[in-house]
Amino acid sequence: MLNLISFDASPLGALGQLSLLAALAFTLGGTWLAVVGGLKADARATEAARRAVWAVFALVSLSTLTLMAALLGDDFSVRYVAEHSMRASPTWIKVTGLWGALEGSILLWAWILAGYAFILSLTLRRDALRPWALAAMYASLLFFVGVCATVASPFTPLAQIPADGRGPNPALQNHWMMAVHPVLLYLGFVGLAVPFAYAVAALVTGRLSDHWVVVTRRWTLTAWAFLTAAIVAGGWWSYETLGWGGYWAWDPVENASFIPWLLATAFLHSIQIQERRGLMRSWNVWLIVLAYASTVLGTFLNRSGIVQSVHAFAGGPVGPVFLGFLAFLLVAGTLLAAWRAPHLRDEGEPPAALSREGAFLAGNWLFLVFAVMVLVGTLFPTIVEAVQGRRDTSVGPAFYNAFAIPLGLGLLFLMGVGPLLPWRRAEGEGLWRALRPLLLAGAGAALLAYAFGIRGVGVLTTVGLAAYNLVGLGLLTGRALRQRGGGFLGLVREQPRRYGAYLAHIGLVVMALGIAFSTAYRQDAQVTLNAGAAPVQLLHETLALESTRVEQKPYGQSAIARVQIDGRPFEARLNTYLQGGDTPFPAPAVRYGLWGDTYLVVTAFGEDGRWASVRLIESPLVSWIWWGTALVVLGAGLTLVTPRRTAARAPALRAAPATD
Amino acid sequence: MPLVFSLVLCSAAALTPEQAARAEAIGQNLRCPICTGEPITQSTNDLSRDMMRDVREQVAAGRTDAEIYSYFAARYGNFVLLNPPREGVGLLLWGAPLAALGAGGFVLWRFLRRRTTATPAVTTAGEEDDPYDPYLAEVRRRTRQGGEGA
Repeated sequence: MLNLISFDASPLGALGQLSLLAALAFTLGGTWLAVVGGLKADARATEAARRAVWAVFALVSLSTLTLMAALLGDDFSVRYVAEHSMRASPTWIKVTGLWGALEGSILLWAWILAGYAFILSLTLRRDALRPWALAAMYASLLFFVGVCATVASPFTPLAQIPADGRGPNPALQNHWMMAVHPVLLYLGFVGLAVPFAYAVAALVTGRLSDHWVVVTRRWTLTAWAFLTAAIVAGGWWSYETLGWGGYWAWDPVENASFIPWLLATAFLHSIQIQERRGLMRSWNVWLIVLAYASTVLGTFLNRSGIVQSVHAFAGGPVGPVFLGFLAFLLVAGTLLAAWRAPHLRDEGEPPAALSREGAFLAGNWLFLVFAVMVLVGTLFPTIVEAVQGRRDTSVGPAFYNAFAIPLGLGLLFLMGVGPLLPWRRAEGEGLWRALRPLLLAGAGAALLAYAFGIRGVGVLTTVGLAAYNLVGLGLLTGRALRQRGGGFLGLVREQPRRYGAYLAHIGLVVMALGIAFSTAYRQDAQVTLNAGAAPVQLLHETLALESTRVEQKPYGQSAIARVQIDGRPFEARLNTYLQGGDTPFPAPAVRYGLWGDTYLVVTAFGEDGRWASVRLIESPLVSWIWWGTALVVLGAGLTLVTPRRTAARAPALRAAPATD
Repeated sequence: MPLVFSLVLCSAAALTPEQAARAEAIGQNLRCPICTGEPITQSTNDLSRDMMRDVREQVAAGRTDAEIYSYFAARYGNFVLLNPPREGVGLLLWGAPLAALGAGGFVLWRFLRRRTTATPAVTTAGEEDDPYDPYLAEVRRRTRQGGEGA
């Protein structure tokens, strides 16, 4: 240990490592205190455990800041900085270096986890759940801080301090999304640790009555909103850099972030059944345990290199460690749930099929099947390789799309039915009456789309279901407005939860339209352009290569083609980076539009810059995906707003049929 | 593969738009053997370009999709097939989501059917339109317990 921490060799490295070790010590102590506090119902021990969280957060913050200072100050005596940063990088690249490689990204994860634990320690109620929620948080912290401080420490010293670092991964220098997407993703992934901790606390204490669900709803929604934003931000990132005009390729690591999203979405709906009716207790516990475990699985896939992916980090000793933690979570969750099985039995009667609960459960069913499908597709090549000893299968978009499209459409259908149905039970006739205008609107919209020349079954169905959803939400809102009177804003302020959910649903409809149209009607053409030659007609545009130039930067160079497309200049780049050798990283020029994007990538340059090969992609409604996501996140935020109480309302005398 | 050599000679014959679309669709399902998970339509390296040319030529020669896929599988291994065939181990892959759908549907059906007595349809409109208070709901549920289940 002594030669690992040397202030002479590396002051910052030693400071970072010492603070990590101290954080680990506090985490161990805190875990012990929390467990004692829980077992003996000792309020003092629990209070001490709660305060130990502050120390852990402060110490992990200190080591994160230390690493950041080393990155910004080009202190190559710190191993992580020497291996993943360099002097010539612009400042923002140095900042993103913190999560640009394995050790730093785990440190960021631990830091965010400590931050969530800190917020949790401030908001926890004084009840029986408190020590065990803290203990479960500590179990997660113990793992991440432990990994950071030992096998994946960014601070291990170097035998020889280099004059300059090796620099960041070239693929991660290409776009500013590097500063956004990973952080959002971690905020989403790690955020699921809190509802997981509450579920564990509820299981351990046996207090499975519904208090924990109420508390975790906010946490889950926050994490879910971050996760949603992160996944789409990642899609946008690949749209802007990978150069094929797509945003989702069913890459294993993309899938790994999608599985927790599916499970968390299912959880967000099924906890409402528990909140309202006290049903589905064990189901909810299972869902959140699986959702949290799937974030660890995602990290394992990403870090271990067992799947072939454009995102994978180089393999290291952390793969098995993560696998161990994953197994621990699953086994511990299963054992706890089995132990508490008698308490998990629902008291009331199971829900009726024709009810809001029924619709939520059907949705849960589809979400779970979706998650299983993605998981099987992701792991299948690895499993076959493990059995046969050689890599013999690939699973590509054809497999995923074959299931994702019908499942997605099924979910869109249920999304329209759910809000129409009352809790407990609906009558078939009333439901049919309520559903009729929606179905008519959907059929009308699909026919209209058909008349406009749209022939794809998937697209037509999406258009129909979009209209069906929008009309449904519109009718419900209209009815509420009529019943309540007053303005729309007042209504929203009174029931932010309901209208937030509606807004999120509208956002999903907008996204679905964007996905359907941009997938079905994407056009792609390639051409080689000569500088100064006559314009070329391609797809619906006229292209002319105006000039090419090369820009030298300290960290690489950019070859730029300036192309006039229908008279508007596009500057598409082909970047090369010092670490990447000759490997070109395209930076396409994209003109965003409400109805479609024009997307230009250079694929090759002539040696003298006289010609450039370009690829022109036109895809309709791509930006609807980004705008739809903004609506979804806004809606999720709205559901977190505290409703404004109405003063002394007369009891609702009118018992209007709920399905109408 | 004499057929292929003769095809190379006549080079990339002009494809009809339908044939070009078919070639594109096949290319989407063929993995570039030397990259990480990119189909040959996206990858820009020489091997992918050659493979794509190969696909176009075979489409022009009128070979079926299955013939083209098995040609590439024989040459580069099953690894390049991004749309795994629905046979052998592939059946496990394609069957798993269907099994999950069936099993989940069965469990859900059983669960919903457990409800034996029909509860009278409660119109919860009043309750529904109140701003939802979980604690109030909990109290209501507890006070109502036993009465409502009957």
